[in-house]
Amino acid sequence: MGLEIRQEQGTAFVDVQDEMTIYTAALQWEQLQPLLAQVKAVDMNLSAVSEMDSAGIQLLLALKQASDRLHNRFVLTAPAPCVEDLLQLLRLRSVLMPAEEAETDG
Amino acid sequence: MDDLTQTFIQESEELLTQMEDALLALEDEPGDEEQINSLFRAMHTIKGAAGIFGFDPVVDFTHPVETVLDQVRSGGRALDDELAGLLLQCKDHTAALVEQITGVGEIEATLLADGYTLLEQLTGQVQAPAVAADAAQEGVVEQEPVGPPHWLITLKFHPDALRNGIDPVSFIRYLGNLGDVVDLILHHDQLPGSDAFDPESCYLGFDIIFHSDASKQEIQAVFEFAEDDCDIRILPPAEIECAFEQMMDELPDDHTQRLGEMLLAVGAITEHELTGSLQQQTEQATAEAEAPVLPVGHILVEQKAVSRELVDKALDKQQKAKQKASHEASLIRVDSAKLGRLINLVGELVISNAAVKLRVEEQGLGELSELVAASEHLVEEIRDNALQLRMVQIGDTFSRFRRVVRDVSRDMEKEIELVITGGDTELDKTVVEKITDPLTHLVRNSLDHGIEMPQERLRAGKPAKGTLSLNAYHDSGHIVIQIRDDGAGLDATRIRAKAEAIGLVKPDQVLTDKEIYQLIFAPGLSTKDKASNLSGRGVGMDVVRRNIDALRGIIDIDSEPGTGTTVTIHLPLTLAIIDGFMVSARGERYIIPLSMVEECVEMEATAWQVDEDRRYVNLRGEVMPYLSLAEFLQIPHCHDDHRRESLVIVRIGHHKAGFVVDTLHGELQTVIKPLGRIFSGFRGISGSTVLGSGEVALILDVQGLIQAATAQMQLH
Amino acid sequence: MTDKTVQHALHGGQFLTFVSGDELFAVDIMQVNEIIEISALTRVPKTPDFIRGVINLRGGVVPVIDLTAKLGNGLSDLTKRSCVVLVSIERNDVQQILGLLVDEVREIIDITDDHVKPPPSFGDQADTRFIQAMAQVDQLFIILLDVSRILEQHEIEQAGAIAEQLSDSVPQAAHSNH
Repeated sequence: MGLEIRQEQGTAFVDVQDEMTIYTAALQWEQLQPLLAQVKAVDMNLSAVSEMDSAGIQLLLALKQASDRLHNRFVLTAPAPCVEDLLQLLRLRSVLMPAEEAETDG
Repeated sequence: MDDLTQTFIQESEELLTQMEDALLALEDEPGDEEQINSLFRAMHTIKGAAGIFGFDPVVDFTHPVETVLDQVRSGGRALDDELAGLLLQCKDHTAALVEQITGVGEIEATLLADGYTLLEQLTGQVQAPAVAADAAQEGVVEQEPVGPPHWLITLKFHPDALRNGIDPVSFIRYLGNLGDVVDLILHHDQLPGSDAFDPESCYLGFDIIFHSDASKQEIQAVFEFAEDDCDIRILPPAEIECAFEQMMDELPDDHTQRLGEMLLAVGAITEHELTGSLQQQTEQATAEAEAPVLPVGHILVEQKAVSRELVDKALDKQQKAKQKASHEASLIRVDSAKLGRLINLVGELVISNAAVKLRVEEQGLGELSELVAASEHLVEEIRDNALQLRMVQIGDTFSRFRRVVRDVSRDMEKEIELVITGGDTELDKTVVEKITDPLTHLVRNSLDHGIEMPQERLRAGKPAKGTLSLNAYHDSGHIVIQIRDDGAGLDATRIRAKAEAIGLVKPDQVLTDKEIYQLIFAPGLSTKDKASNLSGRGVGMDVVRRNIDALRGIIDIDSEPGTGTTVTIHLPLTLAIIDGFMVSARGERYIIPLSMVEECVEMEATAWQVDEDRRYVNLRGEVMPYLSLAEFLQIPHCHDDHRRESLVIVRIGHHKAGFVVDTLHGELQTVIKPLGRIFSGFRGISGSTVLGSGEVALILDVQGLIQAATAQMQLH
Repeated sequence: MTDKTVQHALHGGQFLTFVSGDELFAVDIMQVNEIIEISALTRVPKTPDFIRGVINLRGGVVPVIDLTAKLGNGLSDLTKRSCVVLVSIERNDVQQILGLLVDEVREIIDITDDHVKPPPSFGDQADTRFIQAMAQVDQLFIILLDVSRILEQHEIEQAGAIAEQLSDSVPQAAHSNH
C-alpha cells in the first residue's frame, strides 16, 4: 500500500503501489519531499499506478522541479498505461521522461 | 461642416492613400500580407465610419469591395493586375463619393452608375484561387485555407480547483469528443518551491490547440462545471493573432516560444507574426536571461526549414510595422492653423525679446544683460521647437507619384520604375503644400518627354525599363529635391530653335547649353511637337519656375543627351523664422539668411584679385561674381560713405557670389514678414522683418542677387 | 468692393479729409482703419518715388504711398503734422492695408450727391485713375480718392519697371515675368 522506498548509494528507488490522485497527493508529497534532500537521485517506478489525475501529474511535476533545483536526477520508469495515457495527452513525456524520449527519438 | 465630418474626410483621405500605397506596393511584392491587410482595413474602416454618419452610398459601395478584399485576404481570390487596377479605381471612386456626400450631401446619378459598373466588374467574375500557388513559389507560408478552424483554448485553474473536485485532465479528455486536440502546453511555471507547494492546490494552466467544427458555445459547454474554478478563454482563429501578443506578456519565454511554434504549425498564426512577436519578447527578456536565448529566426530556420532571407525579411518588415504603429500611437492630430498661430506668436516673442535686448543695451543695464541673454536662448529654442512642429517628411509627397508613374507607364506603354531616396528629409508643411504641384509637373515632364519608349531605349543600348528617381537631402539650411530620369535628355538645338521662333533669344546670341536648358522655364516654350494629355501644353515649366520663385527657391536643370535629365530644386526649409545676418550699405540695413552666408572677408583689392571692370573676385583661387549692394539697390549716398568695405560670400547650391557691404552687424533671429504683393515682382528683396527697434529691415533675395551678379560678370 | 465704393461715394456719406501737397483729399471713412504718427520708414529699393517705404504696424509690414509724389508734384516733406492714414483695400478677396502719407489730417465731413462733380484733368504727366470724383464743399474743392485703384495703378507700373530691370541685367529666359 502506498509508496515503497529504498535507498541505494544515494539513489532513492520509489515504487508507487497506489493511485496518484487528489486523495493520495498530500500523503505522498509528505513522504517524498524530505527524501529529496537526502539523495542524489530519485527513481520512481510507476508500473503499479492504478489511477492518475491532475493532482498526480502535478505531484510528479513538483518533484521534478524540486529535484532540478537540487541538481538531483529524477527518473520515471515503466509508466502504467493510465500514466502513459496522461503523459501522452498532456504532452509531458519530453518533460518528465526526457531520457527515454531521447532514446526513442535517437 | 462640423469637426466630426472633417475628421471623417481626413481619415478617409489617409486610409485611401494607404490603400493606394498598399496596392502599388503589392505590385512589387505580391502576396505581402501586411499590405493586403491594410487594403482590407482601409475599406473596412471607411465603411464603418460612413455607417456612423449615415453616408449610405459610401457604405453601399465599400461593402462589396470589402467583401472582395476579405476574399483576397483569406486566399480565396488572387490579387492579379486586373483586380489591382479595379481596386485602384474603387479607391478613386470612394474618394469621389466621400467628397460629394460630405460636400453637396448627395451623389450624382452618373457617379452612382460608375460605382455599379465598377462593382459589376469587381464581383461579376470568379477568379481562380491562384494566390496560394503563387505564394508558395515565393516561399511565403500562407494560412491554411481549408478545413475546420483551429481554436485556441486557454485554461488557468484556480488553486482550489482540485479540492473542489475539479480534475482538469478530465475536461481535456472530454474535449476529445468534440474534435481533435492538435497540441497542448501544460503550464506548470506557477508551481511554487517545494516548501510552499501544496499538493492539493492546483497550479496548472493549459493552452490547447483544438481542431473542431464545433461552435464556441459547444466548446464552452465542455467547461461548464469548471467555470467557477477556472479562467477560460476560447479564441476563434481570427482572434488568435492579437491574443498571442497579449499572452506573451503573461507567459514565460519558453512557453510562448513553444506556443508560437505550435500555432504556426497549425496555421493559426503566420510565421511573420511569430517571428516578430518572439523577437519583441526576446528583447524584453534579454535583461533577465540566464539561459542562452536562441534567436527565434535561428530556431525557425532549423525547425521550419525556411530560408534565412525570408526570416530576415520578415523580421525587418515586422520591425518597420512595429515602429510605424508605435509612432502612430504617440501622435496627436493638431489643426495646422493652430500651429500657424503659435509660430506667429513665437515670431512676435522673438521681436519683442529683441526690443528688450536693445533697450537694455541702450540704458546700459549691465546686470540685466545676462537675464536677457538667457531668455534669448530660450526663445531660440522655443522657435526651433515650434518650427519643428510643422516639419514633415517629404516621403509622403514622393510616394504620391507612384500612382502617377504607374498610370503614365500603362497609358503610354512605357516601362518606368520610380526610385525614391531621402524620403525622411523634413521640411515645413507649408513648403510641402506648395511644392506638390511643381513636382507633379516635373515628374510628368520626365515621364512624358524624358523617358523614351522601350523599343527606342533598347535601340539606344539602354535597358527597356526607364528609371525616374526622386531624391531629397538637406544642404545648408535648404532642402534639395532632385528629379532625375535616365531618358533622352534635352535637345538644346530644338529648344533654341523654339526660343528663337517666339523671340525669346536673338539668333546671334551666344548661349551655353546650360543657359539654353534654362529656357524651358520661359513662358510659352514647349518642345514636344505633339501635345499629350499629360504635359506639352506650353504651360507648366514657367508655372513651376514661378512657384519655386515664390518659395524663395532655386531651380536648376542639367541634361546629357542620351543619358537623362536632372532637375534640382533648392528650397528654404521654412518660410517663418530664420537665423539672419544683418549688414548695412550706405546706412540702410539688410538681412541675409545666415544659412546662405559662407564667410565674410574684408574687401581688399590687394588681398583678393578684384576685377572691378569685369565684376569678379578671385578668392583664394575661386573666381566668383560680386556686386555692390549700394549700387544694385540704388541706395542714395549719405555722409559716411567710403568706409572699409566687407565682402559677404553667399552660396546656394553651387552658385556663389560676393556682396559688397559697409558694415557687418552680425546674427539675429529674423521673423520673415511678407512684404506685400505690391512688391512681389522685384528680385532682390524677398521679404522683410521687424527689428527690436520697431523698424522694418528688408531681407535680401540671395538667389536673385546671385543671378544678377552672375549676369553682370558675364556681360562685361 | 470697388463697385460698392463708387456707389457709396456717389450717394454721399462721411469722408475723412486731409492735405497732401496743395491738394485737399477725402477718403470714405468706411475705408479708413486708423491714423498713426509717422514712424521710421524703410525705403524699398528700386521702387517708384511715390512708394515712400514700409513701416511696422504692430508686427505687420505696411507700404506707405506719398500722394503728392503720386500726382507728380515731388516728395512731400516730413513735418510734425505729417501722419499716415491707414486704409484697407480688398482685392480678389485679399484684405490689404495701405498707408497714405499725408501732410495734415483735417476733419470728417458729410458729402452728398449734390457736392460731387466729375474728375478734372491733371494733365498728362500724372496718373489720375485713382481719383474717383471731385466734390465742392463750402467753396473748397476736394479730391475723392478711390483707394483700391492706387494699388492697381502701382502694380501695373511695378510690373513694367521690373520687366525693364530684368531685361537689361540677366538673360531674359532665366526669369519669368509676373
